[in-house]
This record gives sequence, C-alpha cells and structure tokens, in this order.
Amino acid sequence: MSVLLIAEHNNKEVKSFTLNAITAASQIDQDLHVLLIGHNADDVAKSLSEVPLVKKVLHMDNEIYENYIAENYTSAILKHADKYSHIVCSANTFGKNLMPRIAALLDISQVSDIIKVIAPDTFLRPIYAGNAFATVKSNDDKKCITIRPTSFEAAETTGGSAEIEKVDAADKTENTKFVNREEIKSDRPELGTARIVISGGRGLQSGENFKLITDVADKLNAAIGASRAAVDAGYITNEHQVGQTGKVVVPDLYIAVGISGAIQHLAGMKESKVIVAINKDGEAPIFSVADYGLEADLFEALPQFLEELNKLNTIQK
Amino acid sequence: MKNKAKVVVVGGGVVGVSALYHLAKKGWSDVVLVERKELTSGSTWHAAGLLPLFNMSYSVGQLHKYAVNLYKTLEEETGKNVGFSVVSNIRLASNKDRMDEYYQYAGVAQTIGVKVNFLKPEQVKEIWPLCHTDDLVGAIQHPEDGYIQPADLTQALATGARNRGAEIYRNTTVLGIKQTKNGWVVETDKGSIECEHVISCSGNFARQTGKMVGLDIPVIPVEHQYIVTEPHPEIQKRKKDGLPEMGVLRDSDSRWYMREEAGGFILGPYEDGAPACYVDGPSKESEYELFQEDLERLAPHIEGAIHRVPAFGEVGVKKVYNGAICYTPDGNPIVGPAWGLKNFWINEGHSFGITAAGGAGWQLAEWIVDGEPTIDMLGVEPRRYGDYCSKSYLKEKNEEAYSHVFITHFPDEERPAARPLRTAPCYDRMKNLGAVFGQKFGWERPNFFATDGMEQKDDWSFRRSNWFKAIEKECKNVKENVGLLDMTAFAKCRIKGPGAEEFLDKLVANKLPKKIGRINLCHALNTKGGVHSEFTIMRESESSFYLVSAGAFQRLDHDWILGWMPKDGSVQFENLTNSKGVLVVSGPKARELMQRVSNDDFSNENFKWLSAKQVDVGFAPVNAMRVNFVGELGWELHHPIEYQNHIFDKLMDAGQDLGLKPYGIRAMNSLRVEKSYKLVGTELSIEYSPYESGLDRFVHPNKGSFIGLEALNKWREKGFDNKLVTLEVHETSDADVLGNNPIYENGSVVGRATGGDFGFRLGKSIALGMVKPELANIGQKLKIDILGKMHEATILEESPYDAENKLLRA
Amino acid sequence: MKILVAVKRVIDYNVQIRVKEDGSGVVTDNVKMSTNPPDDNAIEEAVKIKEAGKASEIIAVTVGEEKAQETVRKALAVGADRGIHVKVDSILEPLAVSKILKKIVEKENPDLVFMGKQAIDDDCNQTGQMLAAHLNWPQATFASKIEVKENSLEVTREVDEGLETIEVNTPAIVTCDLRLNEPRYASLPNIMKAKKKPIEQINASDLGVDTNPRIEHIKIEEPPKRKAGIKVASVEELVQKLKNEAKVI
Repeated sequence: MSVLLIAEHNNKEVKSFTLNAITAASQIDQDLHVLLIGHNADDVAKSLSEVPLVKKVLHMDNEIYENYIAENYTSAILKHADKYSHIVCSANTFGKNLMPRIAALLDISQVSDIIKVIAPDTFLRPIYAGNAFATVKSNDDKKCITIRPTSFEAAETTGGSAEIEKVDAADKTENTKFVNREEIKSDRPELGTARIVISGGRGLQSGENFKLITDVADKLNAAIGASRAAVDAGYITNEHQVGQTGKVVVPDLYIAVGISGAIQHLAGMKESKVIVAINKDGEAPIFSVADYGLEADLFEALPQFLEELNKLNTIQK
Repeated sequence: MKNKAKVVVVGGGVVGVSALYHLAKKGWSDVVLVERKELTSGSTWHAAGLLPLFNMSYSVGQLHKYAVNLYKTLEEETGKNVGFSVVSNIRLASNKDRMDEYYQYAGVAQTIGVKVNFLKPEQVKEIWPLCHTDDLVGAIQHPEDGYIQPADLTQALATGARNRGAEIYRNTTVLGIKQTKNGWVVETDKGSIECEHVISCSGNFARQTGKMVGLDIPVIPVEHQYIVTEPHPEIQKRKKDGLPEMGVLRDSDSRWYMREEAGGFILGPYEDGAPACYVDGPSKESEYELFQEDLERLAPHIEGAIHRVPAFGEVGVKKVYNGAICYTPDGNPIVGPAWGLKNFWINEGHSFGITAAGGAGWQLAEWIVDGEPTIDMLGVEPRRYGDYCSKSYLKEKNEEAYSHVFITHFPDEERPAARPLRTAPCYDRMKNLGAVFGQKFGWERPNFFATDGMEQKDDWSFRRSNWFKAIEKECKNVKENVGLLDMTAFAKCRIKGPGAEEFLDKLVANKLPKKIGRINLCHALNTKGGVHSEFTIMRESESSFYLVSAGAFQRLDHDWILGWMPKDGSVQFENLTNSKGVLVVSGPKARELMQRVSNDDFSNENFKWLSAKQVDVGFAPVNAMRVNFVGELGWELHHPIEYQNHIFDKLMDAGQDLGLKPYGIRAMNSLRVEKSYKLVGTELSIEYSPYESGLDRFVHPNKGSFIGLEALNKWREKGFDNKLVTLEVHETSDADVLGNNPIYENGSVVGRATGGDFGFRLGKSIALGMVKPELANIGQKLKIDILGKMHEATILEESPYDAENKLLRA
Repeated sequence: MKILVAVKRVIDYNVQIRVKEDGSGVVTDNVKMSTNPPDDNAIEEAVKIKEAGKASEIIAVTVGEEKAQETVRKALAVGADRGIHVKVDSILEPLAVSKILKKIVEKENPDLVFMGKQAIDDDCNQTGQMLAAHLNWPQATFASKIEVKENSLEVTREVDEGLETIEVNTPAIVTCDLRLNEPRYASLPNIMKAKKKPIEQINASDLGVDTNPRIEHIKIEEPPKRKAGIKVASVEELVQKLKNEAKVI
C-alpha cells in the first residue's frame, strides 16, 4: 500500500495546506510519495524532499504545467496512479477541482473532505455543513481522498531527505486555456492558517466600516474573515468568506463581529478553539457557539476593544 | 428558577406570554412561564400576524376587540415596538348570502362596539386600486384592523410581564404535571415548581400537556400555507409616492386573505384538503418547524387571487410558508377551566392566536384572580366539547373547521364531517319520517322534517328558506294536534345523599321542590350573580334529585355541579345522560295520546303541571315529567334508553288518528320564542343578572345563602342596565331576527336581540332582547335591524302566546 | 445551443438537521425539502443565456426518488423547457450519478451542462467534475461569472487566492457558485403552467449503469457539543478573560 499525494504549490513554494495533507496521508500509510507537477519548480521539489514524512518525490516539470489546469494535472496523475493504493490531496479549491476527475477515470467513488483517518479504508467526514459526522468505509480497491487541512497538523518541514525522481510530462488538453488570476495579496496571515481571525458580518453596514475590523486585525496580527452576507453586500471580497461554501477555519481565536451566526457560517468556524461573539442582538444564534459573548453595539465595542488591547501592549505574532 | 409560584404557564407562544402578562397586570407578580425551546418557536413565529376583528361569535368578537386595543398601547408601555400596522381590513362579497353574513355580523359588531363600514365596489377600488371589483356585490371594512409582527408582539408582552415581576424560563421542558392537595407540581427538566394554578398554553403540544393530567384536550393542528412574493413595481411606486398601504384584503368567497409585505404580497388561502398535522404531537426536538409546501391544493384559490388582484400573478414566489395552526372542531379556541381538575386552565386551540391571545389572557386572568370572567365566554368554553372528541373525530372535524374559515357562516349550518356520530335509538325512525338532522354535543337531532315533496336535505340561509314552510307545518300541528320531539340529548344527572338537598339549595337561586315528584325550574348563578346554568330539578325522594339541562352544556353543567359538591361523601353524583332517552309529546291532544299508551292517570287533577310520575308507556317504565319548552299541554318522557323504540312505536301507532307528527329543534325554537322562554347563552348569561333576564319568580334572595347571592344583592343595589323583553317585529317578509341584532331608539343603540323567530301560532315575527330598563315597557316602540334593514318593533307582554299559561296547565 | 441543467432535491437549508437515534442517517421524514441552492443559480444562468438568445433549449434533469420531480417542476417554472427524471430508489453516490448523467448527455447532446458546485447535503463537490472526466469534456468549476463566446465560454472561478479566469471550449461542464447570479422567483402563473410541461421519466436501471454503492456508511453521529459559553458584561471583561482565562492573546 502506498499513498500518492498531489502537491499544491505556485512553482516557487509549497502551499501550506499541502503540509497538513501530508500529515493526513501518512496516517493512511507511511509509504508516502508526493507528485509535484509544475514548471521550473526545483525549489518546491527540494522543500518537499526535506519533509521527513515524505518518502519520495516524483517531479514532473514542463511548461504545460506553468498554471494549474485540472485536465492537464489529471492526465499527469493517471500516468502514475496504478502504482498506488491511495491518491490524496488537500480539499481546498485546488483539490476539489481536481480529485473527482481522477476518481471518475479510475472508476473510484471518492471520499471528500475527511477530518480523521480511522483506518486506511475508513474515514470520518462532515456532512450537512458539519451538522452531522459520517464514518465511512470505502470498498474500492483504490481510494481517492481529499483532506480537510484544518483538521490535521502541518507536517515538520526539516530533517527529511527523500529521493527526487524526475518523470516525463503527460498529454495536455487543447480545450482549456488559463486566462488570468486575480490574487488578493496581503501582509496579513492567510485566513486558512491564521492563529487569530476576526470576521465581520452584515452588522458592519458598509465596506468603509470594515476598517474597524482591520484595525483590530492589525493589532492582533489576525486574518480577516467575513460572513456570506457581508461579501454579498459588497463590503469585502469573496476570498474572505468563512462558511459552508467558503473557507473552513480553525484558529485559536475567532472573533465574530456583527455576524448573526447562520448555520452556513457556523459550518466554517465552529471548530475554532475559542469563539468570541460581539452582537447587539442578545438572541442571535452566534451566541450559542460563543465561549465569550458580548451583547453590545459593535460601533462602540470595537474601538473599546482596540483601546483595551493597546493597554495590554501585547502584539501577537 | 423558582421552585414555588402562584401560577405556572406552560408554553411560550404569544398565547402563553399574554396569559402571563395579564396575570402580572392584575397584580400577581409571583407567576412564571416555562417554554421548552425559545419563545414563539411553535406556531407564533410563522403566523401571518393578521388581526381580524371579524367574528360571528359574541365572545370571540369581544376577545379580539380587547386585543386590538391592547396591542396599540404596548409600545408605549414596554418600549418595544410590536410592528402594528393599522391598515384596515376589507372583506369582499360576491353574492347575496355573503352580504347577509356581513349584515348579520355588523349587528354583532354594533352590539360590542366594533366599528365596521359597508363599502360599495367603487369604494373598494379607491382603497385597493389593484383589486378587480366588477363582479363584487359589496364589502365591509374594519378601519381599526390590520396586522402585527407576532414575534415582536410576544417579546413586548414578555417585557411587560417581566417588568411586573413575572419570570420566564426558556429551554425548560415540562416532563409531568401532578395534582397535590393544595394545587399542582410542574416537573421540568430543570427542576420542579409547586404552584396553585397551571395554565396550559402549549399550542401544538396541547394533547400531550393534557395527557399529563388525564385530560383529552380536543385540539389537533392543521397545515396552513401562505405565499410570499417578491416586490411588485406598483406597490413600490405607491410607497415612493407616499400613498398608504392598501390594507388587508379578504376575498371571502375565494377563501383567502392578502396583504402587502416588503413591497410584494402575502396570500393565505383556507383551502379544502389541508391535512391535520402533529396528530400525535410534534417531535421532542421540534422548533421553528415548517412543512413541505403543496401549491397544488391551493390552485383554485391562487387562480381566484390572480383574478381578484392580477398584479399578484405578475410577480415571483419568494417563499411558501407551511406551518401548523391549532384547531378545534368548531374553529374557536378553548379558553377556561379544565373539567374535573381544580385550578387547571386551558388556553389552547387558537386558530387566530395572534388576535385572540390578548383577549384570552385578559379573561383568564380575571377568572383566575377574581374568580369569574367578565364576559360571556361560552363561545370559547373548553367544556363545550365532550368525550366524543376522539383523536380520529378531531382529525376529521378540525380539518373541516379549517376549510370552513371562509365558508359563509349560516346561522343554521350543520357541518357534515364525522357525522352521524351519536344517535338516539329512534334515529332511523325519525330519518324515515323525513328528518333532516343537525348535531349538538355530538348527538344527531332532527332539525326539521321534510314535507310536501321537499328534498330531505337542509337549506341554509340568513333568511327564510325551504325549511320555513316545513316548520310552519310542524308548529301548527303542535298547536292543533300533538307533536313528538326527541330530546335524548338533554344532559341528565342524579344528585343524592344525605347532603344533597342542602347542597342543591346552595347551588341554585330558586327554592327546591318540596314534595316528591314536584319539579322546579332552577338557576345556578356564578359568584358574581350572573346566570351560569339552568336546571329542571325534580325531587325523586327525600335525598334524591333528578336534574335536566341543555344537552350542549352537559360537560359544563356537570362540571359546575361537581366543582361545588362537598367532598365529604355526603353528596353523590350520577351522570344519566347516556342511559336515559327523552321523548316529548306536546299539543292539545297530548293527554289523549298518553291515555292511549298508558294505563296511568294523566288527568289534570292527578297529574298537575310541574309534577312527575313513574308510569308505564306500553310495557316500558317511564318517568313522565309534565314540563315542556313549547307552551302546550305535554309531557317529557324520560326513559331508560333501551326502551326508546318501544315507546316511540307505541306513541306513533296510537297517535296516528290524533295527528301525531314528529317535530324538530327549529320548530321548537319558534314555539319557545312565542312563550318568551329563555336559553343559557342567549337570554341567560353570566353577563346578566337573573332579574335582568326576567327570572324574578325563580329567585328567592331570602331563602338562605346560595352561590352568587351576595354579589346579586350588591348588583341590585347598584342598579341593572338591562331588561329582557319580547318584541313583535313588523313588516318582515323574508327574514326574522336571529340574535345579536342591534335595537334602536331615536337613532341610538339601546339594546340587542338575544334570539328570535317567526311565531306561527301568533302569526307574528318575534324577537327576544335586552334593552335599557327604562324602555322595557309593554307597547314601547323601538327599531330593530335585520340584515341591514330597519324594522319597527313593539314590546309585547311576556309570553305573548297564551300569556296565562292556560294551555300548559290544562 | 442546448443546455442541460442537473438539479438535486435536498433538505431545505433553513432546516435544523437532526441525526437519527440509531445512527443510520439524518432525519428526513416530514422534513422540508427544496432545490439545492447552487442548482438554482445553475438554472438561472441557463435561463439568462436563453433570454440573451444564445441558447435554444434548456432541459432540467434530476436523479432521485419519486418526489425529486418537484425540483424539475421548479426549474420548468423558472424557464426550463422540459424535464427528465431519472428514477432511483435509493441515494446514489456522485460516481453513479455522473455515470447516469453521461447517458443522458449522450441521449440529449447538449452543448453545456450546468449544475451547482456542491450539494448541501453530502457536501461532496464531485458530480460535475466526474461527469466532465467521463465525457472527456473541459470543466469550469465554482463559476462566479460566465461569458458565452462563439465556441467557448470564458469563466471566472472563485478559488482560495481570489478569482481565476479560464476559457473552455464547448461542449463543457460548468459548476456554479452561489455568487454567479440572483436566481429569479417563479410567478404563480408560470408555476401553474409548468405542470403542463413534459417530464420524461426514466428508470435508472434501464440505463445500463452500475449504481452499486462503493462506500459504506458505518454510522452518522452528531458533532461533539461545544461547552456552553458565557456572556461578558463589558469589553474590559472580555479582554481580561481572553488574556488570563483562555490565554489566546
């Protein structure tokens, strides 16, 4: 039994969630190989080989793979799939887009978004936006699995010395062309991996008011999240959305401001270690998951909060 | 959470919270409410929030009126906005019967002080420009009506209750309710609360709550849907132009309500085929629950709505709410004491709960704190239903009640579901004689007999209809020959024991019959001196009495008796309702008839008026009571029920050449009105002292103490506001007084009719009514409104037919 | 152009999910059901493309039990021309559904297949991608904007880092995000008219597709309950607790 993990990267660095996926993959079986498909990605291959849990790196390098196109990655993976019992990757948009295509061509019923490895064929996964957990067993000979990265620790990145094997490229598709990507760059920690997240909801009433959130985020070195309502209303862009169809986050501290706490939002943050809710409606559902609830007007409470934090004079890294 | 309180209210919907609020308002701050989940999470949260003032019932109309006025004051009192949009309500009519219903209703409205205007179709168009009015006959408008936000209303009432010291415990589930010596213990999952009173306001869980105390509560909910659309440009334009909201629109004949909502429409039909739901109660996790919608069964009403308001068909459906509404067999809630359980109160079955909650809470608080309600609550009395309300019965009847919300409420309507249910042995015989039946308390009773080639079916109307001719025949036959009436449905019981006489003497205002075999008409007053129940009491022996009262009040009257009975065993109660049948023979040839079927002595010397004798009719033992309700020579034949058909056949056989013919309840009403005989619920009520109702000779204030005497004496000192009179109504042609008609003098309302009918023996249209005492003089000319038309009326002497009772004493 | 839109009937997103006591699944009896929300976006997009004159026919298809037809009826009320109900008597995995849809595609020859990106019941997010693989068609997932060109679509997709735009040649599969458009509401006359539009019923067993499940559901349980929290009275108290009690700042 060996596991093939598909690495997510930008040709320069490994994307952090791949490290969480590596941990999960090695829980399935220690014989873990990583398939790196990219262009001019030698640095990435090297970083991957230094991860102790990785036993081998297959490096496919070609200009076909300058940008990630699911159809091309699929052909690449299928070239090597028969040697492995499990094909695994992280369940963010990269993996969600890719893995089902592979599974279909291998005639495998994929198991999506697992949060726990119980056995090499048995996994725990959330359904109904995390309102129920299902323990599932795959009876396929081969398994295609995507992993919820926030449910697994990131793997150690130093001390390993895996072999890097260069492999040939596969076919490319003529039917899909990459046009462009609008990446929203930020100095802030990435939402998916930040230790502290502060999120704003409809209660902020405007995009300008989000400044109240960013001021606190600056102080706490936190990532900024948002409810779907806030994104729909145009207060902030979509990559900040936390929820069932947005990002799932598990920070040490999640502060929900002006967010009522609809089921769909809770699905994205209820595993946070500590949850704080600030909302002027004392009966809002968010309070039912909050460890600390403050029933107050956010326009008064947030500036006060910032003041109190300044008094503490602690800046978190 | 407290472990002791004066009152525990079970259920935190608008109904429960209103009950709590009103108790606190009456000064009882040591009151608590327990709610298993969140406030409003049962049915309140999804209610459309309409506040209909319209209701054909005198009791319910008053409860609604009180509520609408109260809700207007809540924001000022509690600081919480209740979202009351006083946008008025228009009810449309597309046919004459509907207009009759509105006229009849307008009478009720007049008498309880609710403002209602009649509109012509053009006027409807002015208020509701989007309404198609060409095929309308007319409309009525309630200017004070509108809609409210149910959840906000509940929170405001909760604030008002808390401000006065009441406490509300949410997420607290009641697991059991046990009776103790001094009251009750309510066991919850967070602890127990000892209390004096429990009020059940548990909505969809009514039957489950009732089961905890052994009560079979006659409530099962029914699914109701309403459609919410996206905004319509016309409505948005009106808003921009500063025009008022068009108000609630009810197309009664198409059976739906409609109003504006967030720039679009809400449509709520009351269709056929809506199923009962939660028949065994909601699941224990249920909260904020909705059902799958079914637009298919709403189709005819949707079409009707699009015809009436074409704009409604132009916009998309945003959401369809399908939620449970509680129902009872007649569609009115049950508000009042539980039977057989001291200090357990029922406030359930609310199908117009948002409106009724205010009034129900108000009257329950009065009842609990002061001992009696202040308005006649018979229309919502929990004890108006009996044991016959099985679960399967409720499912049928409640579904029917739902589908009848907008069906024209004819005064003589007899809804068919779950019928026939309880039948007297002579049912089939009566049917073969042409009986058209109605039901009372589950019992089938002949209403009239089809005659002269008439179809054997009913014909409902606010005016004289097919059965008018039928009862004319029946009444004339009673006057000239002899008629046979089935009154098996009468409530009957025996009170006996060493303490029986003393107890009954305290229970009623009249003296009890002294001699064995004598009969007196007696009235039980409530503690405020109003008339609660009427009994015919016959002394069977030294220590045994036989009581008869109206069949509809079996549970009510018997519960009243049992509630006041001493618990030391000196008095025993025996319910004889189902073991005894009653056949009544009345008319000048009644004696001859009885002499043919019995060897006993029916002569006037040996069988006086208001006396009873054990006789044989054929081979059957019968308690023949010389009383009747139609003012002719006659007897009520009370018999063990298994002999009924034997007696029936003997009478019919012997009476053939005497002209013996059966008659029904509707003829009986005409006959009793001619005698000014009174009925509990109309001429007699807790709102009137016996003196106002003309029961002077049945009240003996000096006989010793009896329930209500003190209050009655105080009332007499203060002075009375009403006097019961009998009126002749002139120039009637196709309609008679039904009851609730306003009575005028010089343009002002000076009274209200309590009942009426055409008197065939007198050849006059008669009404009974309460008027101001200074006008209660024979010969006084007044005016009375019948279906929107004013008639002259003259006060007659009491019992205008045979005023000296020569015929009954013959 | 012909557009095939796949829709799914799921538990309404407002309903509070309850797990059956025996762990065999989620309570679905008497629970309100409706169309999977992103499938509404898929239908809306197809209707908009038709209104712009770029498509001639929209077919709505669902794979499910008897009542699943309701979702097809709703699609018809909003603007689909006809419907197909592939009848099954148990819940199928996305792999099986995608194989069934492949048969339907082969039968109907659409130029585009739209569906919601993820079903809110199983949260698998697989069917569209699998169908694309079976057909060897290009896929454009998580679409938040679609521009119809001569023989291709330019699709903007919502990805973790932001927005990515790709161009795919038709025929293609698109899975739709909630932000793609604002689904319209069907008017009542259209809802009534939809009852007369044809829905073809096909038994899944007649399609020659292997629908046997590969995944066993061992048990379904509720997620672990969070410990109840407290309400703090002031910002000062909040900060104090976060520092000294929770030790997260």
